[in-house]
Parts: sequence; structure tokens; C-alpha cells
Amino acid sequence: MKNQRTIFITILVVLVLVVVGVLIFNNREEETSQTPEVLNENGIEEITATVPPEIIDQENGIEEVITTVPSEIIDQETGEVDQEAFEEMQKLSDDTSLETIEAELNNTIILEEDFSDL
Amino acid sequence: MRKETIFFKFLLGILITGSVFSMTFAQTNAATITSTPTNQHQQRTQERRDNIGQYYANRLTNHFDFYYQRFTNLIDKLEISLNNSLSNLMFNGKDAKYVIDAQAKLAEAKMALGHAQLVGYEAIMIFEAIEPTQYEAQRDQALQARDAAQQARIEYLETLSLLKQAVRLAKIAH
Repeated sequence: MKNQRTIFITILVVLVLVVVGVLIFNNREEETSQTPEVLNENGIEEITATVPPEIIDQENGIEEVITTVPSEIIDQETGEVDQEAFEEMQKLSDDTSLETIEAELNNTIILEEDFSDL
Repeated sequence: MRKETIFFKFLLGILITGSVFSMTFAQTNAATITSTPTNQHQQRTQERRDNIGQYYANRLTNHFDFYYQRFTNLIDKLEISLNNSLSNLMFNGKDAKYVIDAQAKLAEAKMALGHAQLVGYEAIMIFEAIEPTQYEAQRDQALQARDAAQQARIEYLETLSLLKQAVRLAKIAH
């Protein structure tokens, strides 16, 4: 009888350990399944596509045109904007017509500067 | 040995194996997480911190020099376009008011661009002056440089806005 009681307590302890183990595992799995949706392999926010510029802010009395940077110009090693690709993307033509100048102005990207490391 | 005792020992063995397996699996999973993108990002952040002033100075130089050059080219192109429009309108005896207004906006854009360049240089110079070994002591300087950089960015946006206004005015004249 005493022997059975000891075994019962042991089983109970082991069961608790199993439950704790499963809970830890599930918790970790949840964290990993959330991360890739927000961050790309460089740990930066995934920027997927170019969207048409939209005037969404009038702060400082200046038209703040938010244009998403295409993912192609993100350097895969550093996770930062590839300067060369960015400059190529922003290249101007020799055309001096107003339509072309207007299109080039609308296509102008002033990058957001990230100072989160400071 | 009694059958009951054997059964309990067998059950106990399974349970212990199960618990050890699940705990090990959880640990393995945790180890995998240490090499996730977030951690890689943290490593890079640490590398940047080691020479943070120079890092930001280089980055801002790349960005601001490019904006300055690009806006200068756009201003030159717009100037040519407006001069041509003005000549045509005057030759045909038409009202050139909007083109003249556009030229005034263009002059404002030039001034804004010059100011953006100055403020941008200020930010870069402050960042360059930060000693990597004394970052904590010079954190206020870093924040001052950050503010200047953000101000320069706003000035570049203002230049863009003024250039767009100039184009809009010029298009009315056409």
C-alpha cells in the first residue's frame, strides 16, 4: 500500500513536469511563428512592394509623401537601403518637360532616418 | 515480482522518458531562437554602437549628398523649362504671371535646399566628432545630431514641396 502511494506521487510529479515541458514548448513555438511575419531575415521590417505615393500628413506645413521603398533596394546582408540601387531607382532623365519633372518630383523618396540605436 | 509492480515501473519509465524528451525539445527550440533574425539584428546593432558616430555620419552623408545633387538637377531642369515657357509667352504677348510666380517658388526652393544642406552638414559634423570610446558621455551630442538630421530631412521635404508648387503654377500657365 505504501509502495503504491509512492509510485502515485512520483507519477503525479512526472505528469506535472510533462505539462510544464509542453507549455514551454508551445510558448516558444508561438514566438517563432509570430516573428517572421514582421521581420525579414535581416531583422528589419519587411517592405514588400512599392505603393503609389499618398499625401498622408501635413505636419510642419509640408506635404509628407510616404512612399514605400521597394524590397529590391534593401541590402540583404546589412538590412539597410542599398545606396547604389536607391540612386539608380531615383535616376533623373534629361527631359525638361514639365510632365517629366512633375513625375520625377512625385517619384522622389526622402528616406526615413532610423535613430533607434542612439 | 508482482505484475502490478512491473506495470507501475513500466508506466513510470514511459512518463520519465516523455518528460525528458519534452524538456529537451523545448530547450532545443529555445536554442534555435537565439539565431533568429531579431538576434542577428541585435548583433548588428551592437556593432553599430561600437562606432555609432561614424556609422550615422556615413549614412547621412550618402543620403543628404544624394538628395542635394538630385534636387539641384531638378531645379536646373525646371529653371530651363520655366525660362522657355516665359520666352514663349512673352513672344506671343500672353500673360506670364503664373510662370513668374513659379520662378519665385523655384527661388524659394533653392533657398530651402541650401538650408537643408547646411543643417545636414551640421548633423554629420556632430556625429563625426563623437568618440567611439566616449559614446555614453557624448550621448547628448548624438541626440543633438539626430535632431539636426531630422530637421535637415524636413528641409529637404520642404524643398520637394516648393518644387511641386512651382510645377503646378507653371502648368497653369500652359
